[in-house]
Amino acid sequence: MKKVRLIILIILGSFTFNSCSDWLYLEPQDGIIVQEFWKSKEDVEAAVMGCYASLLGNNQGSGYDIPQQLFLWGELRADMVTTSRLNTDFQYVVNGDILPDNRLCEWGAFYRTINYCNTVLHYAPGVQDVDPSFTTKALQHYEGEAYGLRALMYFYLVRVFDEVPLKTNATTNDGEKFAVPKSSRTEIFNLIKSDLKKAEEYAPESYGDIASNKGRLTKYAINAIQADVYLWTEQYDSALLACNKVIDGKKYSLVPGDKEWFTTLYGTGNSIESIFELQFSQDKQNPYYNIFRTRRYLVASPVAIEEYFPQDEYTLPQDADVRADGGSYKSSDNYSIWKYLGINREDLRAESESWAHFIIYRYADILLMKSEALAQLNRGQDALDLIHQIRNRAKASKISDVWGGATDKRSVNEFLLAERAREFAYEGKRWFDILRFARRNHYENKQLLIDMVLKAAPPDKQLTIKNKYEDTLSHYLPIYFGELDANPALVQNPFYETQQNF
Amino acid sequence: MKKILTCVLFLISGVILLQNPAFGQGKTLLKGKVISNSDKLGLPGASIAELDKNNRIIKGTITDVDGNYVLPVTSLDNRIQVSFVGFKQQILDINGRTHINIALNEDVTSLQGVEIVGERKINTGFMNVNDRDLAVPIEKISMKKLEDVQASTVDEALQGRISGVDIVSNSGDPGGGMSIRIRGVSTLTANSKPLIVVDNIPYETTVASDFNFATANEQGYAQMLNISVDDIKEITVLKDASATALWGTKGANGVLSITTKRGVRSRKPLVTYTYRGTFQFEPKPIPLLNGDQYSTLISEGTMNVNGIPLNTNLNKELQYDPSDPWWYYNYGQNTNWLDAISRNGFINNHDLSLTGGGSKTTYRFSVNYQGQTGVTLGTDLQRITSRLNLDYNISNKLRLRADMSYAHGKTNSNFDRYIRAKAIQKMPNMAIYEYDASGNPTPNYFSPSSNIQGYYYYNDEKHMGTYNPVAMAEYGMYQTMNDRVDTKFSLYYNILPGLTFASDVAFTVNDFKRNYFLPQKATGRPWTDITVNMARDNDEDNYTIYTNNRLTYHKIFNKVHDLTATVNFQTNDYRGLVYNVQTGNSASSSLTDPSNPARINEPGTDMYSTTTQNRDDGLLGLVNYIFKDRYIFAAGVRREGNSRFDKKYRFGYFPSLSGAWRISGEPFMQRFTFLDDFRLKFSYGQNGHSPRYPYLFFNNYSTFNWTYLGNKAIYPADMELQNLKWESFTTKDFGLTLEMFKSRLMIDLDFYQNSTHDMFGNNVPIASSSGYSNVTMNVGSMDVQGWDFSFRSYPVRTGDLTVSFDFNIARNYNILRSVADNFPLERGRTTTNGDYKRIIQVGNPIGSFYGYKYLGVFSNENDIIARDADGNKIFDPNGNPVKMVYNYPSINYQFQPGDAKYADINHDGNINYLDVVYLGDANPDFTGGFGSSVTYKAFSFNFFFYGRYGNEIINRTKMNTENMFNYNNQTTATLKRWKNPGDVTDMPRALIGYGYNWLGSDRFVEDGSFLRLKYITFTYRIPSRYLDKFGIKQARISTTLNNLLTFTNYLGQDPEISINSSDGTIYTVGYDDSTTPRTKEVTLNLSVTF
Repeated sequence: MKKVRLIILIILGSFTFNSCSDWLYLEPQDGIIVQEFWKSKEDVEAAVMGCYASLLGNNQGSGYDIPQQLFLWGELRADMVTTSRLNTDFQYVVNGDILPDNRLCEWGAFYRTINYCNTVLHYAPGVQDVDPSFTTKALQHYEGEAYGLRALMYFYLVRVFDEVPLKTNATTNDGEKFAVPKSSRTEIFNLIKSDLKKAEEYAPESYGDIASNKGRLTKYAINAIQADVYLWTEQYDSALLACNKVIDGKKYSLVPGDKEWFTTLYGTGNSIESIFELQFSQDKQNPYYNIFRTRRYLVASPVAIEEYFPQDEYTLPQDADVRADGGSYKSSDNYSIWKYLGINREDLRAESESWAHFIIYRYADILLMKSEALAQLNRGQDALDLIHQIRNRAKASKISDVWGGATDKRSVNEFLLAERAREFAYEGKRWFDILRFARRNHYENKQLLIDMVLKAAPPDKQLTIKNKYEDTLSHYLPIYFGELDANPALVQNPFYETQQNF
Repeated sequence: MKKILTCVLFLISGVILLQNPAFGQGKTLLKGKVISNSDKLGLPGASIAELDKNNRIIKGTITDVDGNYVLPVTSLDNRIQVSFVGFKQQILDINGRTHINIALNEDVTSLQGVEIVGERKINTGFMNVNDRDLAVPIEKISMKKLEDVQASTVDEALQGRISGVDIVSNSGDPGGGMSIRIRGVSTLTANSKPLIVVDNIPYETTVASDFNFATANEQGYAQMLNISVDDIKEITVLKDASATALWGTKGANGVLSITTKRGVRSRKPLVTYTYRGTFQFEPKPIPLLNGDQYSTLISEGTMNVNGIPLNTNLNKELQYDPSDPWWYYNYGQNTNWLDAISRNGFINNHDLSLTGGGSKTTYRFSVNYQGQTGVTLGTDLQRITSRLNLDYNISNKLRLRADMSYAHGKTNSNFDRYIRAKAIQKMPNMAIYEYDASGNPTPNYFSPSSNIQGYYYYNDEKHMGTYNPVAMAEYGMYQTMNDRVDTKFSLYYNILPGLTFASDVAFTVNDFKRNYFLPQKATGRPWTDITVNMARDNDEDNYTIYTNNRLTYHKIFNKVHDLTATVNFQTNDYRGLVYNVQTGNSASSSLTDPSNPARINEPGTDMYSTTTQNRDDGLLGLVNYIFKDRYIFAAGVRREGNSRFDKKYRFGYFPSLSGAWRISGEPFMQRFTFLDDFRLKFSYGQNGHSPRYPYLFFNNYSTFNWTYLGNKAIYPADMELQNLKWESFTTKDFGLTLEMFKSRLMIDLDFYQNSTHDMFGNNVPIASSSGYSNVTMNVGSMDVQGWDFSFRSYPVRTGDLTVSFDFNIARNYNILRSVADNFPLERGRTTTNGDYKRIIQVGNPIGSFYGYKYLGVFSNENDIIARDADGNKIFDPNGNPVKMVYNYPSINYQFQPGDAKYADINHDGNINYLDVVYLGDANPDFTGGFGSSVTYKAFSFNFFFYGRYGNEIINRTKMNTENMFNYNNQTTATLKRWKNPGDVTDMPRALIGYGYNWLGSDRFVEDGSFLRLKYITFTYRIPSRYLDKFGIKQARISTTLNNLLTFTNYLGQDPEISINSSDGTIYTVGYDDSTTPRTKEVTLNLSVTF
């Protein structure tokens, strides 16, 4: 009987053994959990680097990644690219048939980066409590970068969609309400401006090495964004001020327009001219090689090339505009978009070396933004001088040196716009430039935009497209259909309301 | 053989003897001699053991060469047991004697091959309950019924056999598995596969949650059911929550409980050898265009877009210029690509088993080899499995069991699983082998780096670019090696009369090694391309430790109260490890392993490892009470803990209750003597699902695959899911069982309803402004309801002739009851060619799809004019006829003659979302099967039909081969396409990359009902009078024809498609993308028992 009791005891023991909850608590072994993270300044730095790294590609989720969207949003609706191989999404845009199911309308990647920034802003201050070596200054540097990046992301979103949801807190658990409605354009710009203000205050002037100064947001990069933002909100004094801050900093200058111009500025990257550029590397290559070369979805539009880089029969090839053939595009490579494909003016990169950087702001942009602000402030001659500074550097053709007079604001504007097309060809600026010029002063120049779109449109689509673009709401992309499904608080851009059902 | 066995027993008894410390210290010596009764000669090596009153062996010895023995016994009141292989065992009381001579009789009854079981019993996992005392829906099938059927796997053999169990094969490729569903799908996103239990141990088919492989669908884990069909004794299907109470949430989708064959006591060893040889051949494939017809189609389709002919200077593939021999010959062929990669398949299966047992020990050992050559070039399979089941009865109170099995498999698949689809698409004017510049054939495969169809690239398993299919089949490698070891140790102890303790410990190691290699020859890509010499090595190791302890009490009080009570505790600990390396562009095609120097860390290469661990435990209390053999009650409650939940929801409580009333046992029913059993059953139970992925309740941070400025970059990878709780469901089942005429007619009928609450939505899209695009959450509730009916009968059962007839049918349908606010209810876009709108509505079944109604083709300009409801032409204010447009104003495509004509439901002249109508439902109304077997003397004949009725299939194969939209090859049906105004046809014009000719419409929707003759078998059992002189006890020869006949209106390749929900969405409907059609098979089966 003793034995029996013993056995029963063993059995009962085995029942209770393990039944405690601890046995069922398993932590993941592959990653880090939030409870273990945010313990040192190194953690904060890694998280800030995560914000930047997310600009280079999709780490989670699908759809077009940020570098693709930056290019496509800036170029696809404008006149300088054309489709080459069949890609339905691109083709619909070129035909003017933008529907809410076009993946061009996905904004997820931008909000992902915004959330990373929000997460840094949420947790970084607390790290000071556990890591005594984490100084307030260091914290502010990181916060400045997060604010700046968040502002940049919203700046893209507001220009592309006009009204978007505003999310300024980090998403950490499923307890919160995800369905956030759209905020007005003014609210978004207010956030952008206040974020930039903090960023300007916090961000350092230098991180100590060239690559970081180009690849991370410095105070000057923040000023560059500010200048762009103020031009968009038609606050030209502030824009001028922001530009002057960069110029007066004397950290940047134009890369001379010689034989090495392409190699320095685009081939190698991180030049003296560059203010903020996406640091692709052997580690993370850009998506452009695939789109422009391997798949050849998009090529330079020959019509646009003819217009912006007219052939000057009296100029020797070596004296031609450096931005023309071999600079922005390569005619001998079937008009491929050369800025991301060439290692120099002649040679193609190997596919395994497709890490050309994507330049978001560079010094030339500061000069031309300043010129734009001056033109609006009725300082036409100053504006023209700056444009010519850029033109002279690039050895621009005389044929394209067309402007009415310093007091003819409209002509200066158009000259500036054309110069920006040449200077920033395929740098993801064109559509935003056109839209900014067109919508200025209550859409004073709407025709400018319509003309440009029509130039690139297929003949049988001309009429439809013209009618569409008359409605200024059509200048913004629709909200992606999946987004509307997932977020009942959203309201579609009214222009696309009728097209929402499909 | 006898000698070997003697040795084995010798060793075993030796071990036991050594372990007995009392050995040799007995006070009394018992002596004697063991002889054979027939020849009176001494038996050397016979074992003599002293048994106590519990039949436990206390001491033992064996006889010497002359059969003499000496056994020191502890008590002369005990008994001795004398046994020898091939002889009947004897047990004698010692009765105070010290000298006993024993004569053993030869055992002749062991010729009987099958154990005769008095009462049908069912193994529900925790106790063997008499079939007739069950209150829960359970069904079983004995493998005896299936022994002649050619089936590589258990699931294949079961197909259509059991009501409410829908088994459909995923594809015809070797190792391509089956999708099994018991009573439909009651969950949207959690795993809906039933639990497979082998000898009371869950057969883990978990794969590590490696994201690349999570998408690999069920085909990926198909090979895992590596149990030889010959080893299986019977399979029980537990259908509802009260039946599966023991298995808890693992068994939430039903349980397939497999019992393997075991040894039989006191039996001479029986050796059985079975051979199956199967010849597989493919049915006629869909007829495709030849090279010339293809080229015409492409040129025409290009011209139709904008009137500009195809530029053949840029696309020389279609130039056909004899002065340019390289192009002319390489692109001037009429190749049938599908034929070129197809062949006849062959399966060899050898099975050898050894069964027997002594008085204390029984054993069954088996080894099985299967070799298979697939019908697609480059596919084959080799598998060897072996199993040893050992039972040792220490005493009447204590019993041990040890089961071991090992399986090793090697499967060669095509590098691209969709190679057959690629072969169908491949341009037929291209040559298989390259012609040189002067037009002479060479022996090299023609693999251009790119052509008009594109080039080879890799997106994911499903999306690869185009290539020469023959070269790919030949050179592309995808090899899977699988090793699986299952060991199980069990102990049974009768503590007191009626009180039993049982304990199981099981260990499973399941390893996979997958090797991929893609040499340049397979794709023709330039040498610098990352896909050239791509090598991938994926190593997956899964370890599971499972324990189960249970205490059962059973007693009958006063002969009328039959009480059983069980307490059960299970634990399960799983760990999965995955290592993956993928490199590209190594120096040579002979360096097939990624360990060789090659490019890594760039797009197209990959390197990662993951570790996953899950634990769960379950504590179950269960009471079963039978009063007067008429009223049956069972009630239980299970507490289950799972490591995939946070503290708040870690434990789930799942009660179950069932009852039955045996009406036939009531006194007033006694006059119906033909009734053996008539029972009404009711059961109610709750169960749940745990989430598909672990660690969801953590806010995880991950490291980017790339650095930024050389710095490590980290991001929050997900959010903490605080609110995720068990997906729970309640099942109710009412049934009746009827058994009449001495078991000659058996009927089971069950009605059931499963209500699922807090359904998991996996990857439910959320507002991406949160920074995440989707999240796992509990999204809604759903009901699955239906009925199962099965009918088994023996219309004739006389001495020589037995006829049986079985029939089963089931219906089940699901209804969505509620859904979370932000759960998107629609999928699919009616603006995109080829897409169907899938809408789910509360109160309606899931699986409905919508699209346009196809009316044929606009024959001429007049046809295009819009008409009102009365058929009158519509005119605009200026008096001009209004022409039909597509999707005004956003697309505003003007229909042209030759375009597809869709029904303008609202007669507004505009084909858009308002013209979308309901097209069908992917759920079958009925599934079932029927079969019969006739045995007359030595002959038997056996067939089985199964089918589905009432589901609609989207024939995507047809869509892709008739859309004339891209450069893919098309079927000959496109030859009747519209070409000139006035042509009247139902096949639109070719229009490459343009137009809306293949919008989701009823043109591609077909009725998927079918009835298939799954197999038909003829068997001849060779009478023993012919066999005796060869020393053979039994021999059987049979032939089986599989998939011989299919009755269907479906025009596609094969209506048997699996509705795959592996993408974890609710929107899945039945697409037919058939790659390898179901093969027809002829099997020769030979079985010999010695």
